[in-house]
Amino acid sequence: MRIRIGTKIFIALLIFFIQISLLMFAFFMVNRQHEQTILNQYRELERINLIKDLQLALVQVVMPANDFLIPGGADDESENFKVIDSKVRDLIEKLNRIEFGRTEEKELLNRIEKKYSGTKEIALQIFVIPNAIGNIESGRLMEKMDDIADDAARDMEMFYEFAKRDMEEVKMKEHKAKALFDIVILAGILSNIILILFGLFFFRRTISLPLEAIRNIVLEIGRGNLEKKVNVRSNDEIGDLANSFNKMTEDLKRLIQKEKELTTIAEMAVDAEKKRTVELERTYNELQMTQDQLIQAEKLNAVGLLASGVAHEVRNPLGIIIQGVNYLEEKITTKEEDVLEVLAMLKDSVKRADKIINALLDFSRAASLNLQPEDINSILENSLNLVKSQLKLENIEIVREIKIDMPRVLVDKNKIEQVFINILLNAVQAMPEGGEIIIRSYDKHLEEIKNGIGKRGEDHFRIGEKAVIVEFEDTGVGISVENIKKIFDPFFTTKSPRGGTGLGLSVSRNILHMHKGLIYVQSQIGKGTKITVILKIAGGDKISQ
Amino acid sequence: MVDEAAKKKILIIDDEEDFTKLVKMNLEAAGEYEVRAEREGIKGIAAAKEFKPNLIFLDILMSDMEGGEVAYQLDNDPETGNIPIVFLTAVAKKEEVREGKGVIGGHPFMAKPVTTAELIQCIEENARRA
Ligand SMILES: Nc1ncnc2c1ncn2[C@@H]1O[C@H](COP(=O)(O)OP(=O)(O)O)[C@@H](O)[C@H]1O
Ligand SMILES: [Mg+2]
Repeated sequence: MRIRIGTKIFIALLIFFIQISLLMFAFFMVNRQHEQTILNQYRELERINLIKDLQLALVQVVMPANDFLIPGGADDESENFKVIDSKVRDLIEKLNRIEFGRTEEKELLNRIEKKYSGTKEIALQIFVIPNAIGNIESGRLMEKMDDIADDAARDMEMFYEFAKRDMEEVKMKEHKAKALFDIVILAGILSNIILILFGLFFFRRTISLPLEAIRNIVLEIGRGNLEKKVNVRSNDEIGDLANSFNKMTEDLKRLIQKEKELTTIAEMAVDAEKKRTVELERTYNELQMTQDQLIQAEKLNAVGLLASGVAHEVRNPLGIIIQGVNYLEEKITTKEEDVLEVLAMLKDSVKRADKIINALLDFSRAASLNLQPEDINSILENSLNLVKSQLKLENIEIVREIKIDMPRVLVDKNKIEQVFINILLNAVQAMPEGGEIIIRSYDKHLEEIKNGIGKRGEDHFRIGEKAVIVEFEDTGVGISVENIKKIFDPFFTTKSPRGGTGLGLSVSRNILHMHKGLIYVQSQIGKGTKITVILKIAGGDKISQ
Repeated sequence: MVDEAAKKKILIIDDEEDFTKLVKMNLEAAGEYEVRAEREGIKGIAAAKEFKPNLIFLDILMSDMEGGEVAYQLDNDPETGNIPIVFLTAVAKKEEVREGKGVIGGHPFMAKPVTTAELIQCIEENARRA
C-alpha cells in the first residue's frame, strides 16, 4: 500500500492528538471523582459536627430545669431553656435536611426528636410548678426527664456511630480516587513517552535513515563510486527518490561506461593513427632508403654491367697480347735489348689496363655484400698483412693504437679489407721517403654533427649513437684544399698512369656507403693525412638509438 | 724431348681463336703438354670424350653456350665426369682467384689475362695424373 510522507505525518499527529485527548479525558474524569469524594468528606464532617452539637445540646437541655429546682437557683432558667431549645430544634432541622444512606438513621433521628419533645414537655411542666423546690411532684418529673434525656443521649451515640462509619467509607473512597488519579497521570506520561519514542523511531526509519543513505550514496557517487545502490524499499516519496536515484546512478554508470568505451575507441583510434603515422614514417624512410639503395644499386648495376662488359671485351684481347708476348719471349733467342724492352712495355701496359678493369669490377661487386658480425681489429690485421711487403719496401712504420674488446661490426669482411688496403696503399704512396702510419681503432658515442651524422633521413648515424671508428694517420705529402673535394671522384688521381687509377677512394666510399658507414678526410699539405672510417655496430646500438 | 705418352693432355674451350691458338703454341713450346683447342661448347664436349684430357680450360662467356652449362654436361657424363675443369674468365679479379674464393660450380677459375707461367702453374696444381 502506498502512503505518502504527508499522510504518515498526519496519521502520527492524529494518533498523538487522540492519545492526548484520551489522556485529558481520563485525567478530567478521575479528577472529578476525586473532587467528589473530597466534597463528600466535607459533608460527612459537617454531619458529624452537627451530631456532636446536638449531643451537647441534649445534655444541656436538662440543666436549666435542674438548676431551677436547686434552692437559690436563678429565676431566669426558663429563658435559658428557651435558648437551648431553639438551638436543639435548629440542629434537628439541619440534620433532617441531610439525606441519609440508611433508613435506621431517619428513624433514629425521629426517635430522638420524639424523646426530646418528651423532655421539653416535662421541663415546661417543671417551670410552671409553683414552689417546685422540694416538691415531690417536681422531683418525680425531674427524674423522668433525666431518664428520657439519657435515652436520647444513647440514641445520639448510635447516630454518631453511623456518621463515623460513613466518614470512614468516604475517606476510603477518597484514597482510592487519589490512587487512580496518580495511576492515570503516570500512565499518561508513560504512554506519551512511548508514543513519542515510537514516532521518532518510525520517522527515523522511514525518513531519516533513507535520506541519510541517499546522502551517503550521493557522496559515494561524488567520489566516483557508481557500484553502490540505495537500499530503500519504502513505498513513499523517499522510496521514489531512492528508485529514481538508483536509476540515475544506473544511467550515469551506463553513460560513463559509454564514455569510457568512446574514450578507449578514441584512444585506440589515436593509437592506431600514431602507429600508422610511425609506420608510415618508417615505411617512408625505408622506401627512401631502398630507393637510395636502389638508385645506388642501379648505378652500381649499370657500372657493374658496363664493367663486366668492358672487362670481357678488354681482357680477352689483353689475354691474347700477354700470350703473344709470352710466345715472342720464347721465340727470341738473341738477346736483343730493344725487343725485350718493347715486350716489357707491352706487358706493363696490359697490367695497367687490367688494373683499371679490376677497379671497375670493384664497383659492380660492392652491390652484393656478405654481411657478418666481425671484429674490426682482425680485419685491420688482415689488411696490414696483405700490404706487409710494400710497407717494408717503402720503409714505413706502423703504430697501432688499438682498442680491444670492441663491439662487432656487421660488414663484408673482404670489402672492408679492400677499403683498408686502398687507404693504406694511398698512405704508402704519399710517403716516398718512408714515414709512419698511426692506426687507431675505438668505439664511441658520436657527438659531432657532420655530413652523414645527424637527424636527416639520409644520415647513416644519429647523434649519440655508438659506432666503431678506425683512423689512419700518415706523415705523407698531404692533400691540397682544392684536391680534397675531388679525391672521392672516380678516376681522380694525382699519380702517374702507372701509379694510380683514381678509383681507390671512390670504390672505398661506395663500399662504406653500402655498409651505411662513413669516410672522412683531414689533411694538411706537407704534414700528412688522416682518413677516418666510421662503421655501424652489429645489431645496432640499442642503448642510444 | 719428353715421351709423348707422358705429356699431359690439355683441352682449352674458348671462342677467342687467337687466344686458344697462342695458348696452344706457348704450352706446347713449354714441351710437356699436348694441347687441343675448341671454339664452341658442343665441340668441346665431344673433344673431351674423344681426347680424354688431363685438364680442361673452359671459358665462361662463349657465344654458343655458357661455360657453366658445358661444365655441367661434362661433370654429369661418366666418360668426362672426373676430368678437372678450370674456368677462364675476364670478369673475375686475380686476387679472388688467388685467395681461392672464386669457385664456380665446384671448379676453380682463373682471371684473364693469364700469362703462360700462370697457366702452367694451374695445370701442375690441378691436372689429373695421367
Ligand atoms: N693518404 C694520402 N695522402 C695524400 N694524398 C692522398 C692520400 N690518399 C689519397 N690521396 C689523393 O687522393 C687521390 C685519389 O686516391 P685514390 O682514389 O685512391 O686513387 P689513386 O690512389 O689511384 O690515385 C690520390 O691520387 C691522391 O692524390
Ligand atoms: Mg689509391
